[in-house]
Amino acid sequence: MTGKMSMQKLLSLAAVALIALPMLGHAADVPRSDDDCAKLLERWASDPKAAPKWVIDKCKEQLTRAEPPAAAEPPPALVADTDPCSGPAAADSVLCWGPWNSLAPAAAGPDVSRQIAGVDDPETRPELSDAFDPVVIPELPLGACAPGTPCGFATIVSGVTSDGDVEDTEFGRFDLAPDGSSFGVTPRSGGQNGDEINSVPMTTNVQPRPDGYGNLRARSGPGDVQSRLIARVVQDDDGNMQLAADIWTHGTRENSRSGYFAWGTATSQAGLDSLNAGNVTASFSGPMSVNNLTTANMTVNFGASPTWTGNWVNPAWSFGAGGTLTGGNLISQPGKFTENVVGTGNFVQGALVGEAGGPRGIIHVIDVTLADQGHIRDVGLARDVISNPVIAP
Amino acid sequence: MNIRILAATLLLITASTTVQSASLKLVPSASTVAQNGSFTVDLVLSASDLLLIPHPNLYGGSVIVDFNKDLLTYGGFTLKSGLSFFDAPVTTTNGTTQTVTFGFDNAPDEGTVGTFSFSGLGAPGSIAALGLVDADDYSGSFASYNSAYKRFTPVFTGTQVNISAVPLPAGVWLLGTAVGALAARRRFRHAVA
Repeated sequence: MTGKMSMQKLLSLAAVALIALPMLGHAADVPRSDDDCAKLLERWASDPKAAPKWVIDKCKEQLTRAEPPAAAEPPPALVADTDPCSGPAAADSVLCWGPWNSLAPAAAGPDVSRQIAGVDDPETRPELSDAFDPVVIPELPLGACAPGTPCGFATIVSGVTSDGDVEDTEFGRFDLAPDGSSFGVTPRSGGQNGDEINSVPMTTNVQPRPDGYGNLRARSGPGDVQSRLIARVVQDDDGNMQLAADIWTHGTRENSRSGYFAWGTATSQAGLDSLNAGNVTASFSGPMSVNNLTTANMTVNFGASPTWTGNWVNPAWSFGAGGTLTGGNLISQPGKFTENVVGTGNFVQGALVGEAGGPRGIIHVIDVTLADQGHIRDVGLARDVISNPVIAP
Repeated sequence: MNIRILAATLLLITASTTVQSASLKLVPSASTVAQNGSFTVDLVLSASDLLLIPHPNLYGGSVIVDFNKDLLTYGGFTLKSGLSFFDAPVTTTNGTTQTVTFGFDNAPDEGTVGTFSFSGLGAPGSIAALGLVDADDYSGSFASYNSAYKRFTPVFTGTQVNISAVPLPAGVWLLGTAVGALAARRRFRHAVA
């Protein structure tokens, strides 16, 4: 019975203690910082149960009592505000640097590099830098023509008609014997697998034409394998071919290939140097061979960085292109086609052939896709329009 | 509707193939020639309808003309003024067949390239044929020359001539009539006497 009574007393004391604890807290007057009060008031504003009212009132009172902040004192003067170089000790200050009229001689011997004749600035050698600059050679789909060497381009189709579907027309390099008695064609895909074409010997016949060209007909003798040329040519006094263009055929009756070509001897390096040194502008014009109704007009601006522009005009379409000249090789730049040239893989490649004072021209191929016209592949010889009269029928 | 489209397409194809053609023909001065009589045959080119080349243009190619030498005697070929040979005429004989081969340049779009001379040799009533083919049976030899060379294949058309007996002059018939009349008159007088 006594134990039961003790237990009841303990529980009663505990209950009293629980009720009295908040009152003890209140009485204790727990100190709070202004920041704590500010945060508590902020929380209380959105949640009134966040704290007892007396705590809130206490905080309000505390914040009200808080004194306004003291006026800011001026910051200490910065080092930069005091010019160490303006005083009498400026020359000794490690913070002072110049201005100097000239640099003091280095603690070494005289600068011998300045005594080398012709060297104004030993730090730069522009006359040597070109040799070390990376030379970016644009890709030439049909390969480059070396200055002073025979060079030509051709279209290649199956059969003897020289014409075919554009998608079945391939480009290649064309070579011609100086007397016109033989020729060779190397497809762009290479001469592997027996694709290289070499004519059999032909007899030649050149007749004058009213327009200054010669009319070359070359034909092989009897045999299973036949070769033919029907071409416009320009010859030198010895009868050697200087320029030639148009129809080639080779093969057997069962398996033959044919196409069109443009050929010449690439302008020599001396000739190119002369044109570049003189900043010469030269214009060229002439018909394309696959489609005779298309006329090529090209202008080459020689100089330190030679460039070219051109347009090809047909009764049904036209387009323009431009690019660079590397050596005597022309190649188009993708960004310089007219807007009607669409798709990818478009290019114009050519080579300057002939020398100043003689027959000169640009042999070239075009491979473009035109909006509303489709794919066009052609090869042509454009002649120097200054040194040659307009060709009339 | 589909039939109309098909018909229009066929018409277009037919028209396009027609206008692209060029022709080279032999045209005799007469369809009947007297035995041992002379006649001429023109070689005529028509190429003004060729597409994909500028016009006017100049053309060239080589041809072979063949005939029976027992029926015709070849007298020569004269090229029209302004044209030129790149292969001069060459005559060859194989059995009874004789051929004349030559190549010419710079013929205009339309007109006579040149003229052959022949004489009829066959018996009266015989027919002498003249064949015409491209001299290059591998790839063809014909091309237009301006502005760039362009190959083309003309349609070749030969010809034939009839050989007749030598016609009698009109005076012979008048003389015969007169002689007959005189003979009849004499018989009449004899009968009266």
